[in-house]
Amino acid sequence: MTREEEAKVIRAVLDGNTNAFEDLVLAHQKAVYHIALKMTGNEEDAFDLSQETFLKAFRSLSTFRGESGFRSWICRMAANLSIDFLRKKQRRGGEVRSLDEEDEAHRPTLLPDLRYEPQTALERREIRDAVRAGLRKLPEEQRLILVLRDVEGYSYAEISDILRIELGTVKSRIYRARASLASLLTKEGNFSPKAASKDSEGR
Amino acid sequence: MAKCDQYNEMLSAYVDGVLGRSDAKKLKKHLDSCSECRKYLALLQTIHTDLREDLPDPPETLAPGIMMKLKGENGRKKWYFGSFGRWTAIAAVLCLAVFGIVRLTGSGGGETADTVNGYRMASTAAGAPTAAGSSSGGAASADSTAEEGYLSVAESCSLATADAAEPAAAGEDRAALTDKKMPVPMPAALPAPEADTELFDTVEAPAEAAPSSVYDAASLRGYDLGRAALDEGEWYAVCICYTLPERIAPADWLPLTPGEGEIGRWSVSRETADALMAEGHLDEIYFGDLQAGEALVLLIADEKE
Repeated sequence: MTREEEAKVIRAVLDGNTNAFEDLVLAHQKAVYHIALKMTGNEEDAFDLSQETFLKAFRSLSTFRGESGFRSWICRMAANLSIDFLRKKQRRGGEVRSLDEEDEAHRPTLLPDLRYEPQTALERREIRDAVRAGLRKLPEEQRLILVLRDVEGYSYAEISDILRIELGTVKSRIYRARASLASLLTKEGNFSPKAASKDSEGR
Repeated sequence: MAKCDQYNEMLSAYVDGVLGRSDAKKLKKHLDSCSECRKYLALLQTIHTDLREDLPDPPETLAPGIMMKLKGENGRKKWYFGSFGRWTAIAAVLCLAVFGIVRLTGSGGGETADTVNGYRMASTAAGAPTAAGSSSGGAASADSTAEEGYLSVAESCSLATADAAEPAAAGEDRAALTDKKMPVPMPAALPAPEADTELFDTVEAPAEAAPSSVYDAASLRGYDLGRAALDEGEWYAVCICYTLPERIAPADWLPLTPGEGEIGRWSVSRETADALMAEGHLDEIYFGDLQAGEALVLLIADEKE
């Protein structure tokens, strides 16, 4: 859907044609659902959150200004709702935060060497699983920015539109989130320490 | 290591291919001589690559489900009191409060609404629907942000000022007052106010809306309500939230937190309310111009939970 088509549809919805809203749902449900899915980690919650996101969007459609496109607007809504959902869940005594946000910007001291280590397919998969599992342990805001950037592949400019933050902030937040994940992975020993020690023995 | 920290963000940007040319040059030169940074780059690269995932499409029932809910909701908006949902509950509570003030002003004999109990209900019937099918008649309506069937911001404001400006005639019949001050007829289905509704802090919500209370500013004293007591020129917003808007700066919010499964009403600054709306935290906002010291806190059970 082009911007113009989108504006037309939104106008129609605002003029009382509720059915027209379905075009917006169909065009953006994937983006919304994916954010919710990676944030919550389960399909049921993702479904509910996606539904809530669109209902909310419908109700506040009149406040949509159109500067950064409907996609950004609805993705921001999905992101906010997901974060609210996770915090609410946490307050109910859900998962315990495993990460200290204070040292988020520092890189881990003992770095694994992933460069020359020949990895078997199994090892590759283990690493990948560890990285994905690590994402679920990050604080919500950090998880969100990596979902947008690394999982979904949004550009810096798109993320800036979605989260309404400066490009420079996008850059530093992405770095901080990755650094958190990196230190989590090395701390938990998910990356075989032998890879790291080999390098220190001198290659 | 410490001197390498200056390359941290560059390494991450490099992974994304967004590093400027001169920075890239600088970084490459550094990487040639620093194995720690090379290792770190590889780690960041791995994170970037391994997180990429082709996620499943949403279930096919998602879109039809949304549309069904929307249509149901819209239908309900046209026949507000046909079903007892949360809108009904909210409208009912607000109307009760309105009846309360009408009675107060009515019996006050020349007393203005401003002086009643140190409190004025600026929202009046903001949550009450206009008559089905009729477009907002009467008062102003220029920049309406309210949805069809609800009083517009302009209308609720004009109601509030009307309340403040004219002292209510003593002994005037409640129904007459209602007709005069509200451009819409009060819905007949609402329960009549109890005898003790003359004080706001004793207004009881109808059973389906419990627990809920409307407090006057004085009865809130002693509670840590932050900005519940508004300063002159500040606005209040009615927040009907499925989720708690925690991402808003705490300074802008009352520390009063509704329990699980409740809808909260707080007073916030106009700016915050706009931001909340834009961020999708609010379903609806009703504005009214409260005077200094006025406050409104209302908790209503959310049928959703």
